[in-house]
Amino acid sequence: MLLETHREAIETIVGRYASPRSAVLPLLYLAQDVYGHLSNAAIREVADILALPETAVFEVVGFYTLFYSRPVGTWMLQVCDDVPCCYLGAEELITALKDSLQIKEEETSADGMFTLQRVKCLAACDRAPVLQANLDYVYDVTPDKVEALLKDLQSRAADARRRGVSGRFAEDFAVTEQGAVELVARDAPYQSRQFEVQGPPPPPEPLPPPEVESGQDRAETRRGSPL
Amino acid sequence: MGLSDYIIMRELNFPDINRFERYCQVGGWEAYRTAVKEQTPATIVQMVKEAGLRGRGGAGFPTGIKWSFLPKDVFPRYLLCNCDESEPGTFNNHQIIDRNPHQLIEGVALSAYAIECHTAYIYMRGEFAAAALTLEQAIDEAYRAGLLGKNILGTGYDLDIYVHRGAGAYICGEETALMESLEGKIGQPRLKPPFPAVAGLYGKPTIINNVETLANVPRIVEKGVAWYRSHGTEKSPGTKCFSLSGHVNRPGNYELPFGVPLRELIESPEYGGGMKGSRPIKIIIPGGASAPWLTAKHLDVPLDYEGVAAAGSMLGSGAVIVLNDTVKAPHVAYKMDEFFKHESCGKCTPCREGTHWLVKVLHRLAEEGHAEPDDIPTLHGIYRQMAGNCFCLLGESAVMPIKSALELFPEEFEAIIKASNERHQRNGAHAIPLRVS
Amino acid sequence: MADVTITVNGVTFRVPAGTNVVDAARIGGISIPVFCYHPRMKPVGMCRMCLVQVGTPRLDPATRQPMLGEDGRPVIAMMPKLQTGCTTPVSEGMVINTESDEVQFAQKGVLEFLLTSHPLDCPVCDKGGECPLQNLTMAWGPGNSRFDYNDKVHFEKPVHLGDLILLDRERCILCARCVRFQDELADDPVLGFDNRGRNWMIISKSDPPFDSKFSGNTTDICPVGALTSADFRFKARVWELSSKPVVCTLCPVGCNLSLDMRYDQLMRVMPRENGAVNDIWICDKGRFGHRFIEHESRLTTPLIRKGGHLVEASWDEALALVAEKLAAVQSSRGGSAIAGLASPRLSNEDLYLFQKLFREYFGSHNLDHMPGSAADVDYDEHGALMGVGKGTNLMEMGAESLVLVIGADPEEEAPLYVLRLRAMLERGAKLVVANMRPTKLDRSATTRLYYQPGSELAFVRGLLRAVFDRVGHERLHLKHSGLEQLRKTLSDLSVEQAAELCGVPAETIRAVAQALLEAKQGLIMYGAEARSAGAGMSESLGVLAALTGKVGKPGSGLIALLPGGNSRGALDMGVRPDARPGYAVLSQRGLGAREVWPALREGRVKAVWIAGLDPAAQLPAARAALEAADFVVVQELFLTATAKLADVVLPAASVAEREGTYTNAERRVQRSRQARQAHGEARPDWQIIQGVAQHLSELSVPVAVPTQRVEESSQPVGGKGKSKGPGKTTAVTVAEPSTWDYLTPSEIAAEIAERVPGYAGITYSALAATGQGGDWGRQTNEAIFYDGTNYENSEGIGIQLPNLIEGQKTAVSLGLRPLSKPAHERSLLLVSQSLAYDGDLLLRGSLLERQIPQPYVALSQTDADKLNIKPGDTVRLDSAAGELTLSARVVDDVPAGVALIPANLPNFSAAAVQTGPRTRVNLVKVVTG
Ligand SMILES: Cc1cc2nc3c(=O)[nH]c(=O)nc-3n(C[C@H](O)[C@H](O)[C@H](O)COP(=O)(O)O)c2cc1C
Ligand code: SF4
Ligand code: FES
Repeated sequence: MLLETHREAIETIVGRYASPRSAVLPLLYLAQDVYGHLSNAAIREVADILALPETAVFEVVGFYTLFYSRPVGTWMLQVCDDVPCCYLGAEELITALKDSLQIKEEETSADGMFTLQRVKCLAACDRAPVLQANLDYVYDVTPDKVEALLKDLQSRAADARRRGVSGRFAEDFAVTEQGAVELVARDAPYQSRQFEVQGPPPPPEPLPPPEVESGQDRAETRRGSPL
Repeated sequence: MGLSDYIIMRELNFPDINRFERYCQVGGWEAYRTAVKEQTPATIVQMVKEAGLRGRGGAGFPTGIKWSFLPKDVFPRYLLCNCDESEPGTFNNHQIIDRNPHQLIEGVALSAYAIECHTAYIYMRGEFAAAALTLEQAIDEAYRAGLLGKNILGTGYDLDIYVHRGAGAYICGEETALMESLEGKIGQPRLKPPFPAVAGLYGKPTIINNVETLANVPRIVEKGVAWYRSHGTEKSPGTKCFSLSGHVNRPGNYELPFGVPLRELIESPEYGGGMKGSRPIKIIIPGGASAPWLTAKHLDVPLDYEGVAAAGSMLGSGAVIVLNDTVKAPHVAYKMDEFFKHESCGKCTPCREGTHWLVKVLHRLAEEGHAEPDDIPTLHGIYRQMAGNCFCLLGESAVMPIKSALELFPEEFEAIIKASNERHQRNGAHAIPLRVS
Repeated sequence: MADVTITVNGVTFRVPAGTNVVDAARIGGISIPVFCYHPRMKPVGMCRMCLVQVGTPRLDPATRQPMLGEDGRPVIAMMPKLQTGCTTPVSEGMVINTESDEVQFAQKGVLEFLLTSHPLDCPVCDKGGECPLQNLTMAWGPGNSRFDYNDKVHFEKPVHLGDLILLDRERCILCARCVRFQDELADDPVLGFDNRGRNWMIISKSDPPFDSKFSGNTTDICPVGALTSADFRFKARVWELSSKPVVCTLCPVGCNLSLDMRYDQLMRVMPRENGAVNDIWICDKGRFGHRFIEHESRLTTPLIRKGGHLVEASWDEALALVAEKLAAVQSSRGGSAIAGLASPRLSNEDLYLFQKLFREYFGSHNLDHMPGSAADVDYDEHGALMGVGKGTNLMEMGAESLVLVIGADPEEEAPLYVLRLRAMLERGAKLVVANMRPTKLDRSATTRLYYQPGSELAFVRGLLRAVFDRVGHERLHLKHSGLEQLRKTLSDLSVEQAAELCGVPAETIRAVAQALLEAKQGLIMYGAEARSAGAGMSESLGVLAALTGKVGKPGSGLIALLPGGNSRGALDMGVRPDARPGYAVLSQRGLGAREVWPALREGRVKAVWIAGLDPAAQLPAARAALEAADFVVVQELFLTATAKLADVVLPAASVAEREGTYTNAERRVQRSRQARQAHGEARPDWQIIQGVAQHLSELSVPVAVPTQRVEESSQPVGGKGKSKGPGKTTAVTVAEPSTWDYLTPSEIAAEIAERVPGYAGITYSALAATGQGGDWGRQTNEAIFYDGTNYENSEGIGIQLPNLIEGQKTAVSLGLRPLSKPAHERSLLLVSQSLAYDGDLLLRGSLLERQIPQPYVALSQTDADKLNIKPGDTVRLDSAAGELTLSARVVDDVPAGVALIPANLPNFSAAAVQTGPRTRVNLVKVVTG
């Protein structure tokens, strides 16, 4: 039960908005991360937490494409097939993935590891073909990189399981020595394709100590959820 | 023509610019500190007005003027930063946030201060999870430095900035749909009026601006109106991050002053670097999927709002997609409208049914090569029935690809129909399979 | 609002400012087709069917005056795009074109689009024949579709949204009318949309599904055949139906219904538009709860007990027997040995004749319209004396009015009031809901408050005191008597003391009093829970209305929610032991139902005539009494438990098989028509009563009518002390009864109009006359708003009675009985919750039967913890009267100190423990080995 396991996170999230209903999306993400997908029971749970009519939350789950009301693979592979990707190798990429995984679009591989989906523009058109593995961007995925990619993803998932973390986005969590579950910091800022840079960047000077004025720590808003 | 003094993409190659200390080293957060301590909100609004900053979200509406629509003395107010960037070909917001988050946050903070609001939300498309994290980290840093939160820099000004992730819906970039989504509902546009500036989020006065728009604000405040206006054109001052994609050698974001000719963006070795394999240009879509198409003969069109409009298209989000002669116009129209169909929210009839029908016909025609003799009038009919009749601009935008394709490349449609007809005659009456869905 | 001048298709006319273009054009007789727009809901502009060209006068930027063209007329700036008429308000000088080529192209386009996903299965669709999509396509649509028929959507069908409503998804045009109705009007947000784009579709995920008392209305407003009712689906084609105007007798709202009949069979029930009563809505009880009229267990012939068995008999035989037996009792024992109970679902005519027969022929006042349970509440008088003022129209009330709902759950007791109150709120009215426990109406309330269980009277006294403190002597010139006494009673209890007693803060009490004083119009609605506090409650509310100036004028007064469809009529007609028609109090009262049962057992009463009540089902005492009685006549629809004990059973016609008038909670008298032939040999109640009367007068032995002096007084009904009031005492000699030869109920109605105070002028011709004029609702058969669904009302909107104070110049005593200390000898207050879907035998055969709950007792978590009771445990209730075993529920919305049981469930009676309208009980867990 989310309220028991994530009460603090839920309260923080709800506290960001003038109306608790605004917390629907974040809480659905939370439920999805914890349960792997949004079962009817999970959706009703969110409705219950926010005291909303159940249908209103089902509506939201149905409307947005990043909520999965059916079980999906550990990795959701979402390949952009929009213009311009489609003219820069997206179709070939999808074919390669289908061949490798032996599944069709919208299907999940037999081992439950991958679900393949076509999606619309992912806003990384300069790095076409692009896909998102769960919410990680993978750029310039030409068909020849498919095998390596799938291997890597598989090992990340296995790693997560070894750490005793379950559920979707498991690979984003680590178990600390104290046994708490913690978010693995990911830092993969979006880089445009690197061309030979004109001259090296100015060498960074030593950093001055940051000027701290009446500094205040913000309430931790992300705890318990990748986001 | 190079640009050394970037506005948005400044110091993007400066290592670790996404860290607070680095950003401060290059003068970051200075404009905000000064503003909060020394300048009145009205001064900032005035500067933004005079700088002629225009919204980068698509419509190019003057930002300062939008801000002044706020009714006096109605509080609370909200500032929403629109980072739902989902239009095919558009990817500069994504990069601005991922690589230089502090400039956006500073812009949001400055703008919030200018419009006297104490809560700002940055609405990010759900897919930008890593970018949202980056932004959260940067926001944390700003809080720790006392630049956000309560009683900022001892001035008594409070401001909270929250990141709110959408969950996969292009329509949530439309300002009223964004507010609905932020209120926890399905993201469908609202009836206007009332306009957001009067009754927006939670029924309160609300300003919505694009990421790039807000990222301009620190520079305007820091360097002044005259400096800002020294870039770009009279009516479109400043620079624009053009997201160049498609069959060019060097796709990517290029920040260039407004008014730069399309040719330079595409062909200059510093930017687009010309077409891949030197193939000829066939279609240029200058402003994201919603913009009418241009062709190679428009290469001298200056890239500013007026110039592109004069050429019969629109600058929109500044996403320039360049396609070569290997593509077929009906197929491009098909792919584009498939996007709009996928993203149609379902609220209004013409968009919901029109995009679906367009895609049905185009799929049959462009993907399967099966055409009916009257497909061309049918396609014309469908988009005309949509044009001007939809609830919001998504449906109106969906008209553009098919309209452009039919206008610019009618012969390609005719050819498919002809071929299909011939096959049909060769193979007897049932050449076009009756699909039972 | 100020008028503006607009020009539509070249015709210039004036319309109220702020009207939207669709409504405005309609005022000028011009139709703009709509799908998503519905005049009762906020426009959303989704379907794009109503696109029109709109232009406004170009204003001179300097002077802000319209610029004039060369012809001297304002230059019109047409908007570049077509505008949706439903969302565009008109403005001065606006020019609208609904017929240009562009508009027609757009209309055709939208229709063609809608038809791309519509299955065109009209031949098997229930909506066929009254379908707006069909009609608008014929009128505005394209001749043919270019869409490939094979590309249509197909869904599993139908989807059960609940027991009552089915959805054929592929027919849905996604106008969201149903969703908006449930959200905005019904406040049961149980419908929504799944997916998006072309996969957008209606869903309901509530648990239980589509849980709303108003769900049926969505099938009316659905502009296609997507939503159909389980009750009507595939039953008939609408053009075969003939609509018969009937009034719903299932609750005191009195909604106007059409019984849509095919020949003599009821196919469906539809609302009939009446702005003053139900607008265009009805609740599910009215819509689905009329299957009883055709139920196979209806009685078809009279039955007479022979050799211990009820055997079929002829009417003549049965009526003669009744007359003979009653005459015999009357002559041997006197009229006081005969008692009559008549149901509050009977018509005014029936009730009037019933009491007339008893009073004139038998000289008996042993009359009642209640079953005689310990829980029967006092007769409600103030709901008539201080009832809503003539001219009250809830449809028109809004800003500046306040409604105080107290001790009531309108959703269960009189469902349609929920829609009407919410519509008033939407127009700016204030709603104060005061209850001992939460009800759903709380969500709509502008102020909601909870008093301690059982302390409603203290709360109202607190209000009174607060009002009195505010107005002081200002209202002393009120013509009502008893002011001195009132002042004294009120001075005994300060607002703070009242607050202490009822648990509502003194400042809240003062604020509500203040709001009631300030409101221009104020209604006080009270229901079963309030009335169970005794007559002191309605009396106090009446005084509250009087002191706040909320009586005797439109939009003000009391609304009592009484059980059944015509309790008010029964009271007005004097079907009670202590007053004649028109609340004329008798100084010598007869026996009420509660006293009849012991009297029967003891032999003081020998014969009883029961019309439409079933006391034996609920009351062991009644059952025993009936078994002991010499002679029992039951006049009924079904062979009820009571009928089974009868000596003669007379089959009565249902509301659908006869004419009659009914008086609703706002004292509006409405006429109901015959919709079908009599069921078997069943006869209207009035005919049965008259038949007995005729036999009585034909009896060779003349009825010995005792000449007795009956003390009558017109003294204030509310005042208890006999000494007060001018009370003129007249000696009345009961005359030789007349021979009855009413041919039609209208003749009875005419007599009522003549004889019953307040009913003057309420004749059938007067009721019919209101049907013309058409000052309500839409024009007949207009094809715009509710196109398809026919809500046409040709029967009139009824006539509202003046309250008795207005009409009669009757003075009311403001004197209040003292506040009695509630007894607390047992820990819990037993509250019977009135439910819409209960054991009412009229629900027989309907789909609603499944929603009738099993008996239970509901407790608060606090009490459950205290008594160590878990949900589902078996518990025993004991009171001064006896014991009862039930299964327990633990729920949030029951306050501590209350044991809540549903009232009037089938095969269940709480009579064993009930000591009165208010019973105190102890509760223990039953541990079974
Ligand atoms: C269908 C649709 C999608 C849109 N998507 C975006 C978007 O992703 N990002 C954005 O900034 N503006 C988007 N807009 C424009 C916004 O509605 C709005 O005009 C903009 O955020 C205003 O910001 P600006 O004044 O800074 O341009 C979209 C508009 C429409 C109609
Ligand atoms: S079911 Fe009927 S009322 Fe509801 S959205 Fe569909 S067409 Fe409209
Ligand atoms: S848009 Fe006006 S009626 Fe639907």
